[in-house]
Amino acid sequence: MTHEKIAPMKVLQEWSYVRSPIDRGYTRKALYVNVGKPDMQIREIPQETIDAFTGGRGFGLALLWNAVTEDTKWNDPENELVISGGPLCGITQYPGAGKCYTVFLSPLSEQTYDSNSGGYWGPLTKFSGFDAVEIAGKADRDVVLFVNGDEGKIQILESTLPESNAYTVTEALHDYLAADEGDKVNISVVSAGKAAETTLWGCLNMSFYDPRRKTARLKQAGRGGGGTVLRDKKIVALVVKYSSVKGTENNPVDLSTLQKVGVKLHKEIRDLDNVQCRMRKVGTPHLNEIMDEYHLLPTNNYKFGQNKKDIGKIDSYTYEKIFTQGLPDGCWYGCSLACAKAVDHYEIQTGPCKGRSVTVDGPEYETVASLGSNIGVYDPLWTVEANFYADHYGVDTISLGTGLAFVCECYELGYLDKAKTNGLDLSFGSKDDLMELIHRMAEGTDDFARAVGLGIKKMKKVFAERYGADGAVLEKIGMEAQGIETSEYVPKESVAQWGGYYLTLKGPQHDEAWLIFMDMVNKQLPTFEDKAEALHYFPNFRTWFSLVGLCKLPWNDIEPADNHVRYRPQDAARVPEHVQNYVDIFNAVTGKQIVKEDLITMAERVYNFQRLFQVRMKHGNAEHTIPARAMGPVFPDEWDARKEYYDDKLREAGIAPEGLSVEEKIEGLRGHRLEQWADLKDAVYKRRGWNKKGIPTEETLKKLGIAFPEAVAVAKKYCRPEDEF
Amino acid sequence: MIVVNGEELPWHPGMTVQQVIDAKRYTFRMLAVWVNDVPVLRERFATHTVADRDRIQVLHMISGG
Amino acid sequence: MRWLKTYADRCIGCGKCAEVCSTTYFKENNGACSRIQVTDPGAVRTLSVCNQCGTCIAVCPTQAISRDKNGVVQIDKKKCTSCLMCVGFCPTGNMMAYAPKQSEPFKCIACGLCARSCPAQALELKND
Repeated sequence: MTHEKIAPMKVLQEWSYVRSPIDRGYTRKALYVNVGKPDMQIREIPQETIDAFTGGRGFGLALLWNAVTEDTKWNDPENELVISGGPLCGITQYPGAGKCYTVFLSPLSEQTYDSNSGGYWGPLTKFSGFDAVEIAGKADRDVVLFVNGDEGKIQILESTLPESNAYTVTEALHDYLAADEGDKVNISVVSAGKAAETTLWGCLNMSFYDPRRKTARLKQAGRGGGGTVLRDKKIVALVVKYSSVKGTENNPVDLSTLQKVGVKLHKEIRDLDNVQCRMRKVGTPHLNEIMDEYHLLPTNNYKFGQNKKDIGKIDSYTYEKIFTQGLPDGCWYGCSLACAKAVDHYEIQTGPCKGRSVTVDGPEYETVASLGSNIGVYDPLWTVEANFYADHYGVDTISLGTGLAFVCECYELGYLDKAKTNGLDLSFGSKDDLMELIHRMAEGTDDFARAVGLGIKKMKKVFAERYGADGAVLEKIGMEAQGIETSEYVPKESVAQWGGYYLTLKGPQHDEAWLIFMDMVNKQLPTFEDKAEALHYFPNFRTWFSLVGLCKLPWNDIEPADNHVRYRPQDAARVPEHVQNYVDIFNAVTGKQIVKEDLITMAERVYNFQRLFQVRMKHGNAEHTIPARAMGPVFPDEWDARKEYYDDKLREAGIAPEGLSVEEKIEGLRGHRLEQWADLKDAVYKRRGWNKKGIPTEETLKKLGIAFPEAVAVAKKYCRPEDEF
Repeated sequence: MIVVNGEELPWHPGMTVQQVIDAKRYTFRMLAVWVNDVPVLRERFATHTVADRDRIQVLHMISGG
Repeated sequence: MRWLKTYADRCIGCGKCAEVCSTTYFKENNGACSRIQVTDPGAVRTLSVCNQCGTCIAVCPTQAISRDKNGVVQIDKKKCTSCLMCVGFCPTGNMMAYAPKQSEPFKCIACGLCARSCPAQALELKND
C-alpha cells in the first residue's frame, strides 16, 4: 500500500540504557515504561521469577500481578500491556520460535488475558536487552514508543501519523525509521487501529518486513482486546529496532543440538508436509473442508457444522489459488512450516482504501470460518477484504466474526430490523451490508455499530434492554463465555471440547485443548476421568509454548513419518518425538536438564497462577459457563438438519424420541447434557487440584512451588470449607 | 461385522482399510489405523484387508487450532 | 554455470579433496568441515557435493543465497540468520552446517581446489 511520508516526530522523552547481553536465553531484565508520567525503569528479573514462571506469558502474569489490585479496571492507567517472548524466543534454528505473548486486563473479560503473536517484535525486543516490556500509564496525546536496541535508547515520540490504522502506521514507521530498504527488516511495529478505539475487540498487529514482497506484513495478537488497551493508553505504535540478527543472540549453550534438532524438523516438513497438512501451501485453511466434513465448521452462528452446498467455494484448494505460492512465508526466521500465507495485489473494493492494491495477510482458518461460513458468506474475496479491514482497523477477526454471526441470527429472529441497524440488512450472507457495518464500527459514530463493538456479552444486554429481544434466547445463542467470543469450531458434540473451550483460563479460545477428534471421532476418551486427564495434559502442554516463545503449529500440524505406527494411539496424539525435540532445544538454549514431565510442571505453575489471578480479579466468582448453543441444538431446524443423529443421541441418553415434539427432544437432550457438563466440571476441577468453585487450593499451590504469600492469601480468602471435594 | 472406533460396521470379504475409512467418511489425511492393536502403515491402507470381527481404531492425529 | 563434476568410479578414497577443502576454508583438516563428502570408503564410493541447483535460493527467508555471475550459488553471511532451512531443504544433502566452527551454513562454491589436488581425476570443474 502506498502512503505519504510522515512529518518528523518530536521526542517527548528519551532515556539511554546499556543493553544487557542474553545469556542462555535470558537477559534477566524487564523494560518498564509509563507513558503517562513519563517514567522508564529497567527492572531485574530475579532467579526466583525465572524458576517459577519460566518466561513469556509467565513473566507477563507475574509482572501484571504486582501492577494491579483486585479492583483495577482495564482502562485504569495501572493496567499494563506486558509483552514477553521467553527463553527460546528468537532462536532461528527451530521452526516457530518467534512468538511473544501479551498479558493485560481485558476490556471484554475484565480479568487477565494473554494473546500470542508472531512477527518480529518479540525477538527484536529481547535482542535489544529485554525479556519483557511492561507498558503502563496513559499518555496525554497520541505517542509512539520506540525501543532502539541499536543505540540503547528508549524514546516517547509525539505521533505525526495521519491515523491509527495498522497498515498506514506500520508502513510509515518502517519507512521513517529505516536507513534504506534493506534496513526495514530490522524493525517491528506493534499497532492497533481505529476500531480498537471504538470497540472492545481491538487487536495488536505485530509486523515483520517481507523483503521479497517489499512490504510490511502483520501478525495479530488478536484476542481479548489488547489493541483497545493500547489505544486507551494513547499509544499509536510500539516500535523496536535491532539490526543484524545472526540467529545466535540467545547465546545457547549447545548450538550443535539446536542445529541437529532443527534440521531434522526442516527435513520432516520438506518430505511430509505436502502429504499431511499442506501448511506450506495453504496454512491453517487446510482445515476448511475437513471441519465441514465432520460437522465442525461454524455455519450461521454455530447452528450447523456443515454446508455441503457451498463448502467448495471456500475450501483449501480455492484458497491455494488465491494465496501466492512458493515464498518462504515464515513469520520469524527459520519457520519452514511457512503458514503465514498472503494474498498479493488484491484490489480493495470498499471503504477508505477502495481502489488500492494491497497485500493481505491470511485469511487463516479461523477467519475463513468467522468472516465466512459463520455469517453465511461463501465468497473468499469478501473474506479477504474483511480480513484486510479487520487488521487495518485493529479488530480481532474471531470476535468480530462470531459477534457478527450473533447479530445476523438476532436479525433473522426479528430482534433487529433496518430501523434498529440504521438501514442495514444483516441477514446471514448479507455481504455488502455486513461490510458496511464493519466500516461503521471503525468510524464509531453509528449507535448500532458501537453496540456491536461491545462484544456479545454486552450486546445481549443492549439488545434485550434497547430492542426488547428475548434475553433467555440471547443467552442460549450468544456464543461467548467469560466475555470472550468462541473461536471457530463447533463444540456441541464433544463433551471433552466443552471443557476445551469453556473450562479454560480466559474463555472459549482454541489455544488450550482441541479434543474433538480424540473424543468424538476416535472415541479415545470414554470416561469423565479420561476427558479430565486430557483437559489437564493438553492445556498445560500447550501453555508451555507460551512460556518459552514457541508456536504450537510445528508440534502437531506436522508429524514424523512413523508417529502413527511407532506409538500407542494415546501416546501418538502427543507426538512424542516432537515433545522430545522441545525438551532438547530447551536444554540446548538454557543449559538446564529438564525431562518431558518437567514441561507439564513448568506450565502447571503458570496455569494455576493465572487461574488464581482470575479468581482474584473476579473477587472469588470466576465462574465457568457454557452457552446452550455450544452443547447442542437450540432450535428445531438445528435438530432436523441431523435428525437421525440427534434421535440416536437422545436414545443414548435414555430418552425415547418417539412421540416427542422436536422442542421436547431438544429440552430432553439439553437436560442430559447439562448433567454431563456438571460431571465434566467436577472431574476436571478435581484433576487440576481445584475446589468445587474452580479455585486452586493452597495444597495445589504448595505442591507446585507457587505458594507465594500473596497467592496463598487469595486462595485462603475465597476457598470455603463447603467447596472442598 | 467389524468394530470401528467402538461402533459396528458391515464387513465384506476383501474389505481394505481404505474402504473402512471411506465407509466412515473419514477424509482427514493424518489418520493412524490399528487393526486388532497392530498398526498399519498409511502406504498400505489401500491393500491391507481386514477380516470379519476385526477391531479397528482409526485415529485422527490432530489436536487442532 | 560453474560446478564440480564427480566421477565416483575413479575415486581412490585418499581424502585429499576433503583435506584441501576444510583446511582452505576452516584452517583445519576435519571431514565435518569439508564441502565435499566422500562416503563408504570400503564398498561403493560416493562423492557428494553441491550441484548448484539453487533450490536453497527460494527457501532462504533473508535472500542471503543467490547465484553469482558464474552461476555459482553463494551465501552472503552478512544476511544469513543461521536458520538452516537451506540445509533441511537441500535435495542432495550438500548444504552443510558445523556449529563448532560457525553458526551459518556453508557449501561448495566450485573453487576447483579439490579437483586440482585429486590424484585420480575423480573431480572436474565444469563450466557449461
